[in-house]
Amino acid sequence: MNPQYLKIKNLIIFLIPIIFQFAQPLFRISAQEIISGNKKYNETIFILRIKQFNEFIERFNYEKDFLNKKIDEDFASKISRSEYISLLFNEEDLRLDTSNTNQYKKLIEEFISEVEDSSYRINKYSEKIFIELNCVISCNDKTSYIQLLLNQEINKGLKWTICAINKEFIDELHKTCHFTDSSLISFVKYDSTNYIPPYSNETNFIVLKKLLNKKNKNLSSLNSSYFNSDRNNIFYYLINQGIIKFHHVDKISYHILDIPGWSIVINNFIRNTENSGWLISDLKTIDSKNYQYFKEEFDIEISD
Amino acid sequence: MKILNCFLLASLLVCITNVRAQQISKTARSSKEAKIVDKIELKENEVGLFKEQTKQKVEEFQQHIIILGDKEQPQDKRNMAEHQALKLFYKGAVMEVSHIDNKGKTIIKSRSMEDYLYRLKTLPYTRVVIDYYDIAYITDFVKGPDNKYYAVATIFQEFSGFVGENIKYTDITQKEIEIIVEQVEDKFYNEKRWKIFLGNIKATETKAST
Repeated sequence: MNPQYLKIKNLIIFLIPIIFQFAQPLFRISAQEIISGNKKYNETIFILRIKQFNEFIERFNYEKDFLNKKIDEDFASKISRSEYISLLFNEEDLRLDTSNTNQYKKLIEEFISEVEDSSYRINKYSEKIFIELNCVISCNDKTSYIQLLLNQEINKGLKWTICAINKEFIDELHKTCHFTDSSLISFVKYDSTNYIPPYSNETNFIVLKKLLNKKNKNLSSLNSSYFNSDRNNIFYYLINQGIIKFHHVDKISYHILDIPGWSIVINNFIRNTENSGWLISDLKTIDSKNYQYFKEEFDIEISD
Repeated sequence: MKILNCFLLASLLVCITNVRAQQISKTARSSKEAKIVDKIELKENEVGLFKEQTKQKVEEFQQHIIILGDKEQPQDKRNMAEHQALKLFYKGAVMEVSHIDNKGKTIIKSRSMEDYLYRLKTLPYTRVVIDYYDIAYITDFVKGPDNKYYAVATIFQEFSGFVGENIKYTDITQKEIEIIVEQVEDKFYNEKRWKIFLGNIKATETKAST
């Protein structure tokens, strides 16, 4: 285990009694139940786990403590922002070994130092927070996968919008679904009642199944205003024709491009440890005008 | 000398506190972000009220689940709990349950809330014990394009199913509950009021054994 993480682990152990001091009124156990050591351990995990993406941002921005209370001077005197950000990384990342020459570890240290020195924060409503969804669909009754890219938009309120669909998707469809491009007639009228509500990300976009399986509805109103692709319309057309059926979202990955020069990827680590929930799974330096991954996978360019 | 040491120590503590305080204030929102927040988030006094009401709704839901899952309760009471629980939800709400199988693959199943509650009531155990923790986390309330406000609360649930005196199944589930606040017409008072509903629920089994 790397020394940086050991230091943080020790910090958590030190913090547990403090957490419970505050946590007593928060947690309720049924009267007949004897609080076992196991139960206390579970409670510690529940507190430390980053349960929602929103919670990730509040911890990153050094706004809320483990108990979702505003960070005060007392908390800040015990845990610095850089230590707090260190807890947001996946500790089981194999790149974090004990070697002093470890490049990824150095990159993390550089990132944390830059964020703290420049007081960078993530705007939770930023249009530079993208979500990549790996979705399970069936195409002519055969199970398949599709990747959607979403981001947030604010107009009369906040909503999630679909920016793009994986560019290999249509090629694959040609092989399995047998349709011709000429069949893609203009079928749409704008329907503003179709939208993906805010915070749908926290409930695994359950709402998508209902929205995308509505027949004879104009789904193009789900599109992003900034990134609009023909592939999206092809996808909606195939849904309306009943060729594709949307089932559910299998996996969510966040791509945060809100910190200048950096890309942060976040995934949900479902495990029964203190270091679990929505954690940073990858960190890269990027040319702020071009996020290569989106270009390769979704054929879109992100500009300042 | 002793006094001087105490003075130096006190000064040092003040300096550290100031640095920490600056560190907190330095991460304050930019004016652009603050404007967005003003536009789509509820004001602080309203948030407090809605969070309190959300807590009550979630607790009410938990109580109904405990009753409808309890086989020692009369059938009428359990049916009533099922009916009352459904009334807390926005129409069409869905429960999506996910767990990781032995091969490490995530299995996801979704059911309408009606189906979910009915299945819970008819589980093949002689006794069911469901234990909850209070809300572990709740987001702020944010306005959607439909003028409704949305939030998500996280709770944890422990479930144990018994056959006779033996535990046949136990798990710990993390649940994300969508909260929807909508203005509804109160015909009796002839005025519009904010009403809180529960929406879709994502449930993740984090620890299970049979």
